Formats: sequence, structure tokens, C-alpha cells
Amino acid sequence: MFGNSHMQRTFHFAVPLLLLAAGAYAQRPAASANQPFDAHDLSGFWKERGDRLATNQRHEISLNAPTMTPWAQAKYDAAKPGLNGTGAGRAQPLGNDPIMICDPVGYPRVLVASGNYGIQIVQAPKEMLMLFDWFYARRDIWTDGRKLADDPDPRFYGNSVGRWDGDTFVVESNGFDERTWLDSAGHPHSDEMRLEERYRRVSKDTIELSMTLTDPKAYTQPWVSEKKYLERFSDKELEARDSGWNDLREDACIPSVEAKYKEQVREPAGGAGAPARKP
Amino acid sequence: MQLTKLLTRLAPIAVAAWLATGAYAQRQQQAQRPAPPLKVMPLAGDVYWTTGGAGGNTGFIVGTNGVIAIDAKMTADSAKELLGEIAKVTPKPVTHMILTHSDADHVNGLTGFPKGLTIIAHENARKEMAEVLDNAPPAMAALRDYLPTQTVSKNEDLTIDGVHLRLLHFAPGHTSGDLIVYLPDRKIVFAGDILTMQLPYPLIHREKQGTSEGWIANMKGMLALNAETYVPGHGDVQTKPALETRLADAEARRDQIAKLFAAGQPLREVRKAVGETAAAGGNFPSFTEVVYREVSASQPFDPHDLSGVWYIRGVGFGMSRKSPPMTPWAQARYDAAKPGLGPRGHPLGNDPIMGCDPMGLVRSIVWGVYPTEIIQTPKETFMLFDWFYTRRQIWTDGRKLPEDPEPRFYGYSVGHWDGDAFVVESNGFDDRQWLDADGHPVSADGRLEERYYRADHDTIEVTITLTDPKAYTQPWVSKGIVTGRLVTPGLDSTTEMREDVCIPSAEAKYKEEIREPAGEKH
Repeated sequence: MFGNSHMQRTFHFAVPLLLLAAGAYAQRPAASANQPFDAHDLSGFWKERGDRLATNQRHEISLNAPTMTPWAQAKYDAAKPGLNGTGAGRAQPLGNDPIMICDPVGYPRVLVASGNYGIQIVQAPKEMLMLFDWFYARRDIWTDGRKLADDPDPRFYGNSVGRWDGDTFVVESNGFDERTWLDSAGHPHSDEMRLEERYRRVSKDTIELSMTLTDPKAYTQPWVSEKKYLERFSDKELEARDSGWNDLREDACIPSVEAKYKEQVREPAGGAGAPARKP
Repeated sequence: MQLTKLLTRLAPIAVAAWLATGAYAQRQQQAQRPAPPLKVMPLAGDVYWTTGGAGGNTGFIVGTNGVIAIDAKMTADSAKELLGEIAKVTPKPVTHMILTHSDADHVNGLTGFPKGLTIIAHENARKEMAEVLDNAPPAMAALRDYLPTQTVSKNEDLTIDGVHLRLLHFAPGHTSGDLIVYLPDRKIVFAGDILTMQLPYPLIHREKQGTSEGWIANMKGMLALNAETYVPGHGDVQTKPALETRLADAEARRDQIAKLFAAGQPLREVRKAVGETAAAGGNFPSFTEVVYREVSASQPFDPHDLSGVWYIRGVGFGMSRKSPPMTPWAQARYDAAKPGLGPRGHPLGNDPIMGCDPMGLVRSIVWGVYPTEIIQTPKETFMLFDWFYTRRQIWTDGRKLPEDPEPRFYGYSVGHWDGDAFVVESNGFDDRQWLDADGHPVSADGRLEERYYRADHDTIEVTITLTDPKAYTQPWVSKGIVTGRLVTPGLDSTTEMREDVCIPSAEAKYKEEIREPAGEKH
């Protein structure tokens, strides 16, 4: 039983993204969509429904990345996505995506590339937490009125403060560790990146999100995302997930397991000259 | 690059190892630093005090048939040097030892004395010594034969070997087990570490329940004695006027700190305001810090509010030094586990966290170096761990633990209030995790109970009980684990909580460039 469940865990990492890409999750409006809600309450369990977007298979900020600086272009060219790579010849079964060895996935990738994985938002008095299934990661958004530091220690999940602007929750972040990829396509960012996110709960079941990424070292102009949607998990959906008790999964990335998977599955497949998996 | 930035860039395991070895090296250095020669100085009649050697001052009194010693130095070697010096004064054997308190630099040298001594101490000092021994590495086992044979709980008049002594304990001051030795006939007081003259202000060990209030009571008590000579635990012999000045200085500073606290000043500002230097407490928290924490701890609090940033104090190693007897299943796993650090340490061990495999629950809770943030919401309590940037969630919405859950490194947890104790029950552990840095295993059948009790504004007491019959023949109850709040007003969790994520590529590099070359030397 153990070996089996561990094996399942191994595949967590890759499989849902593929399922999502294959369109396995059909979109259907929920009965609760018209119920009343508190616009200033973002708490609960959500998923990023990439399949509502024209760019649904991209797991990117959006399709229309601004022009990269030479610094960013060199990084982008060196990045070899293992999965979900876009652009001719970019995806390679044995790529150099840092998450393949469980290096931190970082923000915003943990959100924009999370597919149907769970995201829990917790509103505490002084901070908002975003907890993720994927990588068992988290992000802390301070709401106690503090300002972003001018030169913070870089973090994989950034340094963030949030405030309400009417019914929109505005999150500003800086201090991102530039070792992470922005998305599964391998877009880079620098540690000078600043991110603004605007969250608005438009119905009981939906939060709209737009992101603006400003990083002159990497992109010649701000990168404005297409609108993204967080959709509320129904209790039924939560129950159906393998945690079995209505919470997030513990989808920790386990380097020793990933190393084994690479050795036993990915390398033989890649080494045999298998074609790159298309998203 | 700032040091903090450099440290965040270093692999977290490396930093943990660095901290661990740093603390160890410091202790070793203290033990091994060549000490000045031990000097014996006569006071009056047959009473002597000594300074030098390793550890605090000592004293001795030559009685009718034997010698009564006061405090035992820090090492067996230094104790033997002391015995040699006593032998130059008198051929009589040392028959009695009075301990002024339990600190290592006053008691660890006991092993250099012949066995069979009558050892007298305050009952709390004996308790503190016994607790240290419970969690001590095997190298300290010899001290077990030197626990006090007689304890004092209140002031006592004694005549030992024709010598009249009064043993006084006014309050827990430097430690909970302070004992002042007063020789009324000679007007001499051995004050122990109530007087630490190498420091400008008193040294209070809060972890041994010492208090500044108790220190003041001890000073006033000593000043009321008909005495002229005061032998401190460290530094030169003092007179009554010198003690009066020291008491007045400490009281004034204490008042000043309380006022600054009341004005909302954070500790770092208070330090500046009183003009305290970094080394004000030697290797220990300074008087300013101690008083500040006392004032902070005495603030009102809601016993059902556990939120904030906390550090584990206490063992910081695991549930306790010794596990209950292991089953063969657990023993085999324990034997296969090769820790990177500790008594079974191997520089290139197989600790799963060395490769950034998940830490697991118990290890995250009990590790003592990095902070934990607790967040309470109506339905859930979260514990966010700085180390490994990980977390656990405790449901408080009334649900029951799942019956056959898919194993998780951080388990499944539910919590409820039992009076003022927050009781957390957990199951469903992934058995690949280690329970502690020593490699104790946990099985998927293990159940954990944690009880969190907010003892004062700044302290949560924690008791953890693991019941895992597949691994241990009886429940394993944690020992010596206390969470202390170290966040001070004006310092909040952004300053304290870091993103100490484990990065496999950085760990691999560290292994290749540092750990492996170092390991090869072993």
C-alpha cells in the first residue's frame, strides 16, 4: 500500500497538468454562483481555472510577453522547459526546469501554472496567507499597513503587502529571487521585479485577478496579464480529492522521489529519443 | 553583502550545522581555554577563598577533622588543582561540599573530588542538576555520582565539623536554587553568583527561574547580615558599601527599563537608551534583556490566544534525549539512519533533509533554532515554520481524524480546547520522515497528542506524546520542551520569520564543495 501511495505521489507533480491540458476538466457553472457573498472575504479554497482562458494551456502570465531585454533573452534561451514548453523546440523531456529537482517553484508560477491544484486563502488580522497544494508552498501578504522594504532579502515567494482599494484587494510585491522561472515556459525575471496583483471577488464562486509585472531589467515594458480567475472549490469537489477531508493536499516535492522518477522514467523515455511531450 | 543576506543565500541545513557547531565550539573553547592558575587567599581564621582555574570562585573552611568546600569549579582538572592547593594549607581531607547554585562552572568539577562527599545544595539546585543530567550527553554521566546528598529548602543553621554556618535562601535570584553561605562568627558571606562582579549588572538565569525581584531580595537579605566580607561567584571580594551601590544601580536600571517598556519601546531601543554594550551579559542574556522580558511576560494575556511568533526553548533536539524502547521494526530503521550531526553523527550521513526531502511534523515543532508563527482562525489553526518554509494545519471545526488517511509528512491534525489547554491530535504520518535529528523513526500508525498551554504572556508550555506501538513499546512523552515568545513589541514577524526554503540545487552544491571534502578528512 505504501509503495503504491508513494508512486501516486510521484505522479501528482506531473499528471494534473497534463489532465488539465487535455481538457479533462469541463467547465460547468455551479449552482452556488448566484449566492450572496462578502466582497472583502477572499478566504476559502480556490483553484486557478486556466481552462477559462484563451491561453489556457500556457500556464503563463499571458501569451503576449513583452519584448525581453538581452539579459532576459539569454536566460530565456538557456531555459529548457521539461513540460508545457511553448515555442518551437523549447520543450525537452530532460529539460533544466529547476522544479524538476524540487528547487522552489516560486511566485507567481505557483499560482499561474497551478492548473486545478488547490489554493487556500486565509485572512488573518495582520496578514493574508495564500497556501498552495503544489509544492506545499505558501505566500504571506502583510495587511498591517507596513510598506515594502526598499532592498529586501530576495525570496522565492517574494515580499508582499496588501490593501483594499474599494472592493479590490491590491497586492504589491518585490524582492523576488531571480532563480525561479515566472512560468512553465521558462520566462525569467530579475530580483528587481515588482508585481502588482488586483483581486476582486465577483461572485460567491469567482475571484478575478489581473497581474502587472514591472521588471525593466528583463522586459522593455510592463507585462500585463490577461484576466485570470480563481474558482471556488465546492465541498463536493474538495471531498473528491485525495486528501479525503476537505483541505489542501500535501503535494510536497520530494527530491529523492523525483530523482528516482527521473532515473527510472524520465531518462529512459528521454534517452530513447521519445518526442517531447506536447502540452 | 550583509551577513543576513549571505546567510539566507546559504543552504539552510548548512546554517543549522554552522549554528550547532558554533555553539558547540564555543562551549569547548570555554572548557579548554587555558585558565589562569588557581590562587588561594586567606580571609579570616581558617576560611579561604580561591579564584582562577576553570569556573567560578570557590571557598573552603578548615574544620576540626576535615575541610568544608564551597563550590566545585567547572572541570575535574581544575577541581584537582583546587584539591592540590587545599593540601598545601591542610592535610585534612575535604569531607563536605556546599554548592551555591547549579551552574556548570560551579558544579561540573565535582567529578574531580573523591566519591562519598557530603554534598549540600538547595533543593531546587539539585533538581536543576538532575534535569541537566537527564538530557546530558554520555560524557557527563560521571556527574550522576555527585548529585547533592543533602538538600536545604529554607534557611538553616548548621554546625559541621565544629564550624558554625548559616545557609540562606531568600528567593530565586540568579537561579531558583541559590544558597548563600554565611559564617556569622567570621562575618563572611559566600554569595555565589548573586554577585558576578565581572559584569556591571546582575546575571539572572531566567531559564532556571531566576528573577530580578528575587535577586534584589537576596541582596537585601545579605546586606542585613552582620557581615563585612562578601565573596562573589566571580570577581574580587566585596564590602558592604560596594553591595549597596550595586543594589542601588540595579534597582534604578530596573525601574528605567520598566518605564521604557511602558512607553512601548522595543528591546533594541531600550538597550540603546540605557547605553548597554553588546557583551553586557557575557555569554548570557543581559540584565536589561532579562528585566525587559520579565516585564513583558507579566503583561495580561488571553489564555486562548496562541497567535504570534514563538521559539522553542528547552531541549531543541527532539522529543527527549532518550526514546522509549524501540520495536525491532523501529530499531532497524534507527540503525540504518545516519545523522549528519549529534552523538551518532556522520559528516556524510543519510538524513533525508540533507537532500531537502520534507522535514516532517515533530521535527519542525521541536527544532529550537528557528521560529514558528501561529495563526488562529475560527476553523483552523496554522503553524508556519521558518525552517523549510513549511507549515501544518490544525482543524478546529469539530471534524474527527480520518481513519485510514493517505500518509503525509505533516500528518492530519484536529484541535480542541480542554480548559486552557489547546489539545492537538494527529495521525497519518508518512514514515519516511525522521522524528528528530538523531534519526528516530515514526510509523504510519503513530498518533501524536500535543498540549499547548499559555503559561504567561510570553510563554507557551508544550507537551508532546507520541503513541506508536509499531515503533515504540510505550508512549513517548516529550521532556523539557517549552516555547518562549521571543518577539518583542516593535519587532514583529516579518523581521523574525524568514523564507528558509530548502533548495536541492544549493544543498547539492554545498555537499559537493564543503560537506564532502570535510567528510573525507574524517
